[in-house]
Amino acid sequence: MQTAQLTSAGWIILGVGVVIAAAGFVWAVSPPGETRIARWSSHHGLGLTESNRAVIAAYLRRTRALQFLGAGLGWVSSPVNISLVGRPFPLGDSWVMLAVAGYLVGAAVAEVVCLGRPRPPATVRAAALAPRTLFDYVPAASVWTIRVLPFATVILAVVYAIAPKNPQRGVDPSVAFVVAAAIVVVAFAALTEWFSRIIVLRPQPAITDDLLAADDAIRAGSIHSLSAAAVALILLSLGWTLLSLAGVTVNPQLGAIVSGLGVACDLGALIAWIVLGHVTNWQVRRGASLVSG
Amino acid sequence: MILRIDSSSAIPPYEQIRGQLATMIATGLLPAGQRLPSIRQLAADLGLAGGTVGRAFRELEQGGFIASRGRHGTFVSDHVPARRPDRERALLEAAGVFATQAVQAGVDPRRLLDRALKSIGSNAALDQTS
Repeated sequence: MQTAQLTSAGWIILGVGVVIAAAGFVWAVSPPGETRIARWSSHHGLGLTESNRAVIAAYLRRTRALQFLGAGLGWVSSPVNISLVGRPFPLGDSWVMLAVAGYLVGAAVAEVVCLGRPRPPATVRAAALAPRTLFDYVPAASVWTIRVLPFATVILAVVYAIAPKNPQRGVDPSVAFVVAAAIVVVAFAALTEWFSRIIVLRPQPAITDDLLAADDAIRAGSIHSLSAAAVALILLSLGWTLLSLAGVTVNPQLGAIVSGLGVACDLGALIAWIVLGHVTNWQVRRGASLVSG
Repeated sequence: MILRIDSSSAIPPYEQIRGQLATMIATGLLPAGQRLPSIRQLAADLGLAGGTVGRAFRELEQGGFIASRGRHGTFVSDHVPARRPDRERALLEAAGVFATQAVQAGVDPRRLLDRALKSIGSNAALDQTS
């Protein structure tokens, strides 16, 4: 069995990552400033009021802290695993992929915490008669990307299985592993959409217009974070499959093309994560006044 | 548009849902073709079982108030039976039911109405419209 250990460069990258994650965590757990709250609200077309400002501040604090914690733990998980077991994870030494996966888990845990809160007791309960759908909270392009892109991984796995291999290099990773990874990506995409729908259908008591708008913006923010991380992970998986194919193919031209595509997928993952998760402006497409309307 | 369920009421929750939706549809507050929330969404928001909301929807569909269009959702029917063009008349009927129930329960309906108006903050709106 092959053993592995961290190089000097690896330790430096690990250290830089830990420092960034720790600084990010400290920043995230501190109460968000007015500018940060205003910027987030502006991204979601939310008008801030006295009552919804506190809700947004608490949400930002909770989600950002768990996202940074998850990303940090993901980042260090590979070197810790190498130190303990003496070999990298089966999917390779992709610290970025593990950091994004950790971020996604952190974002999901933040939602689970929110879902688990008991409903305040009330004799009279109210609900707005406005349907909520996933497409109200996230761009359709994002939903369809998460639905369609995993099948590209499956197709690539099939190509990997049937492509002529270079006999001198051996087949690493194995065909079975690449096919299994592709199936996991499809299942992961389905799980992401299912979880997003749970967030959409989370109970939304009809309260006041400003709190309802804040609740909608929070749902949109959460689903954007999850979708962004999911798209990034799927693209990174696609990139991993392409680079694996480049490593085993006997055809140098095909190898060069798929290598380029693999790197493009990795870059695309980073861009998708930043753009969809942190830059995109999104106002929930529902009636402006549901309570008093 | 808000649906309210009083868990302390003697009227079963499914009947409260059915009655409110039927009144909203009959008075035109919910127009024909308006999409309604899914049973699952309403049940979650109101803290009720899906079967309770489902029963109300089934009865409304049997009464011709709403129509299910499969995976596209549930919509207010285009041909609501006995649709009344006069909103005031329909609301008067609903108010009559309310007043009767209040008197039967030994409660002054005017006092309840005042409290209800205050709770939804409609007094100001009523002043503006009158």
